[in-house]
Amino acid sequence: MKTRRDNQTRAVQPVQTDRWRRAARTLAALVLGWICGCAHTQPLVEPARFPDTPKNYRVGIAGLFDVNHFDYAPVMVDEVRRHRVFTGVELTPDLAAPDCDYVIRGHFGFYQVETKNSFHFTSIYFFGLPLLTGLPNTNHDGGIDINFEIYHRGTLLKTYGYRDVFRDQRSYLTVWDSTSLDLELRRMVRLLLRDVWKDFFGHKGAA
Amino acid sequence: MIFRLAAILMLVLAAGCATNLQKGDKMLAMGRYADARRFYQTELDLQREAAELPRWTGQEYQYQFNARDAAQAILGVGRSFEKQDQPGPALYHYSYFTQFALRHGLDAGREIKAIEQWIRESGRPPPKTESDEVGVQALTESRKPAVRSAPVVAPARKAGKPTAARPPAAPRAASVPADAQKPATATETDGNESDVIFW
Repeated sequence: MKTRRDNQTRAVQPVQTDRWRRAARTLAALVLGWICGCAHTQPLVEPARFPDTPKNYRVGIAGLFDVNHFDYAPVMVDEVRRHRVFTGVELTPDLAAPDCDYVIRGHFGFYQVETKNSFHFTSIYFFGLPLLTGLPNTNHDGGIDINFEIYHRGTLLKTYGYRDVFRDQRSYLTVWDSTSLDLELRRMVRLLLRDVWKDFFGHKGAA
Repeated sequence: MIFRLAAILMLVLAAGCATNLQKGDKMLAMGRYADARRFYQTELDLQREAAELPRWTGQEYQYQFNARDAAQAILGVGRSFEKQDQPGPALYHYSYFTQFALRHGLDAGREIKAIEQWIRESGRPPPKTESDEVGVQALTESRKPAVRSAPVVAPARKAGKPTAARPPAAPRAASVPADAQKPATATETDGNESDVIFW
């Protein structure tokens, strides 16, 4: 005769199995990501987070400079245009540009160091053949520190700062793109757009 | 015949060995602005790539790029836009050139004067690129707290020290309206101005 306790146990068992499977899958993904993946401390904001209709604002980009004062503003302009958050985006040298509602300027420092691991150096003694297995032999460590300033008619309104640290394991057979400065800048610009949208237009009743 | 071939070979070599800046200048002189911009941009990209990682010399890190060439490339891009009658991008790149030259301590007085001359002739207002201080100042002023009503005693000031350097507080006139008699500053609030500090 089945007791009430037996029925309860039978009902709970599949749930527990699913939980273990899910945990195992997560662990496998983590291990796989650690071995041959790429990890960032800042998320890549999904385009779905941005509004469907662009805001009727004109935004100027007054430069995105690195430590040597090279300008990467075209990357930022391209990313802002791609997500259609504002109706107009243009390059402007003027922080008080009369035809822009807001002007954004950024400064950043970026580094990326590439090192070969022991598998790579060991493979040298086997004519490089082990590298054909596709196991990762290169490690990228890097980071970016970026600050954005938002001006309204020449007056500093708000500043945003982000820091992302990343690592990337690659082999000679890795097919996806490695982390680069361009991708990192696009990631940071997405974070800025998300926060600007939340702070400037996220409140109730925002026109 | 051999001399002709050698001359042609030398010409080809010379043309092939020309730097991107020289090629850009040549294209700019020929009126092929897009091609000139392409050469300048290539040079700028090369310098930018060279500046990505510094090199350890044993004593310090040194960047392996030529700031003068990079500045000339930026200036060339601006000039190509100017010649193509696109003042907006030209002004942006001239501003970029000015900041870049200042950042690297380049002697670019002649070029900057030419840019100023162009801005004056074109009638465009100069860009407000160094307005950080102005903006921060305006923000600070708008955030400045209101008049403090409670006086704060400065601890460093000795009690017996005379305060003759400052004029004494004038007595309030009876004819002043009531609104005007409200203290406008902390100095007027307590009457003892030597013991008041602001922050």
